[in-house]
Amino acid sequence: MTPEQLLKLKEEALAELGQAGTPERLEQFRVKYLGRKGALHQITQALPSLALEDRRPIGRLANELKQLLAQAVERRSAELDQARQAAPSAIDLSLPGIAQPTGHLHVLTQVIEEIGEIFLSLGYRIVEGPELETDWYNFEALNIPKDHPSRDTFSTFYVDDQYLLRSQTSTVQIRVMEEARPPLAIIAPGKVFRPDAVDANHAFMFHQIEGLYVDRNVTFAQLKGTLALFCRRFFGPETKTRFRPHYFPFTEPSAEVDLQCTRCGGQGCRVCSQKGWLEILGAGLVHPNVFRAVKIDPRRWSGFAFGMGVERIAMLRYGINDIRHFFTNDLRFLHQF
Amino acid sequence: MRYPLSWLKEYVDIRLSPEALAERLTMAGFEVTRLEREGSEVVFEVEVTPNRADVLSMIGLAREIAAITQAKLKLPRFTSHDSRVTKRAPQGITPLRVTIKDRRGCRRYIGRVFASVHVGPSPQWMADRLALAGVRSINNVVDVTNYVLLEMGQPLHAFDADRLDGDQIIVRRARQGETLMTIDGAPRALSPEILVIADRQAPCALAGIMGGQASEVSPTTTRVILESAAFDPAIVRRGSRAVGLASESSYRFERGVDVDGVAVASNRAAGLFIEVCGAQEIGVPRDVGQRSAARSAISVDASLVSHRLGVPMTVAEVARRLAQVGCRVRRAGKRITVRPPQHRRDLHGPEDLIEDIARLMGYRLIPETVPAIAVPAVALPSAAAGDRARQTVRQLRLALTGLGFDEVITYALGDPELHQWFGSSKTTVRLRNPLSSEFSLLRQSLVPGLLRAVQHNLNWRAQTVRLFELGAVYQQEELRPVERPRLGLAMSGLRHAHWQSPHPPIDFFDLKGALEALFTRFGIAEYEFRQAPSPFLEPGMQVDIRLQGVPAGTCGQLAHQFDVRQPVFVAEVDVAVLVDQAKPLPAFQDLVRFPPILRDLAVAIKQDVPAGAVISLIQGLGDRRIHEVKLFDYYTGAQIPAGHKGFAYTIEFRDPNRTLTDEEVNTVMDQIRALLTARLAAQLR
Repeated sequence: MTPEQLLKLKEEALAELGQAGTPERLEQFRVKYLGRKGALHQITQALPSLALEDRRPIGRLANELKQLLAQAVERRSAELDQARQAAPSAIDLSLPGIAQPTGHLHVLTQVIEEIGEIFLSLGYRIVEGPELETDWYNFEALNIPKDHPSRDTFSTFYVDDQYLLRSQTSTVQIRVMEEARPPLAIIAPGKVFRPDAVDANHAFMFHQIEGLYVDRNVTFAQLKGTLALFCRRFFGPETKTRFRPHYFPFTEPSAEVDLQCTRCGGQGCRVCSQKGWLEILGAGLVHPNVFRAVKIDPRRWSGFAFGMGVERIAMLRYGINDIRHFFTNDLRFLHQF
Repeated sequence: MRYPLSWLKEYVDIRLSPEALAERLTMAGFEVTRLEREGSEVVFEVEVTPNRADVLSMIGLAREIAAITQAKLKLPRFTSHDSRVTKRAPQGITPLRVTIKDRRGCRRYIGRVFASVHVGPSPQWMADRLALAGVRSINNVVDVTNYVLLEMGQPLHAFDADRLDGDQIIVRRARQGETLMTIDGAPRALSPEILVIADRQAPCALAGIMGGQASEVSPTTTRVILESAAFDPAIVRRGSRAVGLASESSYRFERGVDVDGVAVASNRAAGLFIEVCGAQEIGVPRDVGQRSAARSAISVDASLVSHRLGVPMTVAEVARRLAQVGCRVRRAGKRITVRPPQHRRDLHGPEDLIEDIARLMGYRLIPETVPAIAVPAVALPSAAAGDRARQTVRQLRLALTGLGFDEVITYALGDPELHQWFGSSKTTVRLRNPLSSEFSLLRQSLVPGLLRAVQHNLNWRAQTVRLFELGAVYQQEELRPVERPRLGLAMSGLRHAHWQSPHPPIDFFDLKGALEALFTRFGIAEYEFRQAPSPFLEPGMQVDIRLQGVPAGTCGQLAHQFDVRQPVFVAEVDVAVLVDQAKPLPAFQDLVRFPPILRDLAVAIKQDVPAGAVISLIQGLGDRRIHEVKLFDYYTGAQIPAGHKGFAYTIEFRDPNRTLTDEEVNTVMDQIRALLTARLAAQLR
């Protein structure tokens, strides 16, 4: 190695350094010249083979070159860093992103799941019952004998003399109580059918959720507390509810639960038909005749039951104006939830 | 029912404003749905529940108002007739005879005759009150019967006495073949389940429902027979259903009327006939049947009331509340014996008394507590199986939305024309009382509903439609109709369209892919798609699905006969089979530590050879080092010989115990190539 050769090496190296435009190329350069097996290392290794009088000057030159190159590499590295950050972004951010869109669960499914969660947390189990039912489960066991005027309220689709499409999920109360002895706490969501002409607020098929709790000393106060808690959890902590006496053949005392109309704060408006309140639940203490029908002793056990219309609740919560949207399944509707 | 406030005020002191009274009534169980003001008049529209028919009258509601507001009740006294006093009918006039043939159908019947009746317009005060209550004024005689109906809740009927054959009233069941023209002008065919009022010859009225046209009171009527009766609720209801007729009368009879009230109302009407129609009573009222209904006492424990309501109540409070609604109460320590008033036919047992106590107290005053529910987990055996199915369905929903499908809920009822393609008519469950033919049967398949949903969205220019539904289908089986849960899928339009790539249309393989993804997701290792005929799928794409050999559903492209202008792909899977086959717990397989070797293979095979044949052959070698054969390209074109198609595969070789060598892999690849050439006449590329 002569000084001239070292000089040539230096020129080559610097030229090459100037060409190193990316961090990868720079690293390649560093390894080539400054690495463990790099050019300068080889020169240093070869020093002992030089003539004694040449060793020191060459060694010194080599060292100088090494430092020069090391500093140059650092500077170049910094330059590249800066350049990268300062460079205008090559990506056009105004282009839309590309994703595989996920589908939507039907809003009624979402509501049913959310209501289910609330009651699961209170200790209820979720059960289901058949849509095709018999008169016994839909009426007689629920204290609605044949020829009872209440049958008008629960008008029903019949298949034949024996079978019908259930008009309420209360049928599941009977099935559960026939299957197991108290204590019991269940909720049962499902489809029900009524021969109502279809309009903005009625459909011949809709969904209900039924609840039943039977134990030693179940009270009306517990019914109130449970439903008030449900309303606050589902509609919001500020929700106001009221319990109003009503009549169902299968509960006594019976009640309807109203929500204060959020639109008018209870003053009365079109949404609540000027009443100031919106009815959302029917409930009551299980009628002793129902217990007798399933051979549970009403003197030893008491219980409460409640039922709610899912479509109605969904319409109130989301401000949906027409029940038919749920079953037309327009994507512009489904994608809103 | 409509209640004019001014009319109510005749029977009870009302100090509250109409709004305040409406609020009190609503919170006591009589929801005031409307409060109308007509000039100075206020009318309440009240929803009366079926158990409180005693309130379906001015006096009835007045009683409730008195109880709720602790106001004074001002009930008028109408002279009760005394049937012991015999008054001879005038000379030459046969006295009225009343015979009750069906004692179950009619518990009491009072018939009275009036002569010198001047049929004409009613006095203004009566017409006004009727109008406010929503009843049209007809003539003074009919109006009196309607007036007393509204005032007391007892339905009455007036016959033109001269149109009845013989002065004879017979309460009996109709005979098959008899007919009656009712006052609405419609002829009614009668049958033995219908109770009628008949004269010597024929039925004259449908008891409790509607009168006959022939004996209707008209401007020429001069003699009237007044009927006041207690007909059996169930029999009136059955008659009403049988002829398809309902009326204010039948409505009240179905809910039950007071046997005692029959006489009171009769007297009231008699007085009004005399006052308003100038009539004179002829003879003595004929009062046949039961005079009064026995009411048994109800025994209740004050502590039961406290327990049920969750509010401590003293015996004194309980007794006081019950007295408020007119019960006679006798106390013996904690026990209370209660005799409900005659009009409270809804009070049968302690639970009914408890409700009355609660509503008089005001539900508002009952506190809210939340019970701590402790139910043993084993309580419901069916729920456990249900839980597993529910969990699987839940995961199914998540998997489907993850695959980009939107959930729909379609009507479970359908029309015969569309549904004929989706199941045999022998297994169709039909409704006996549908609302329309459009929704007259229960679906045997989810596909028609999905089709409608797809059509609707395509009509609204949706580019990509991917739908799923989880719901029941229904089939008539030998013994009974049966429902089964199904999963339905429908796809149409473009694959997810975006600006970076072209927009290919959705095809059958998108559907197949979604199904395969679902099956894999649930650990179902073996599934098969096989062509099988189907009436609603397009030939060439009619596919039967089996999971581990078990028939599980169908899929394919919807046939041309359905009105869709672009391809629609549908699938339907039996959820029970899916749930049954799904593996609840995956079994962990340790990760292979040795790197795999990948080799590509391109072949051209004859057009009629299924693509799967290549993979089957390769896997058929049984070489455990061949881990996976994956198709990654399919092409036709210039490089492929005529009558052939080209496929390219990546074959992954690995061994869990060592690193494979290139040499051994090469050997296997040679074997594969030789096999494909020999067995499929494949041309390698």
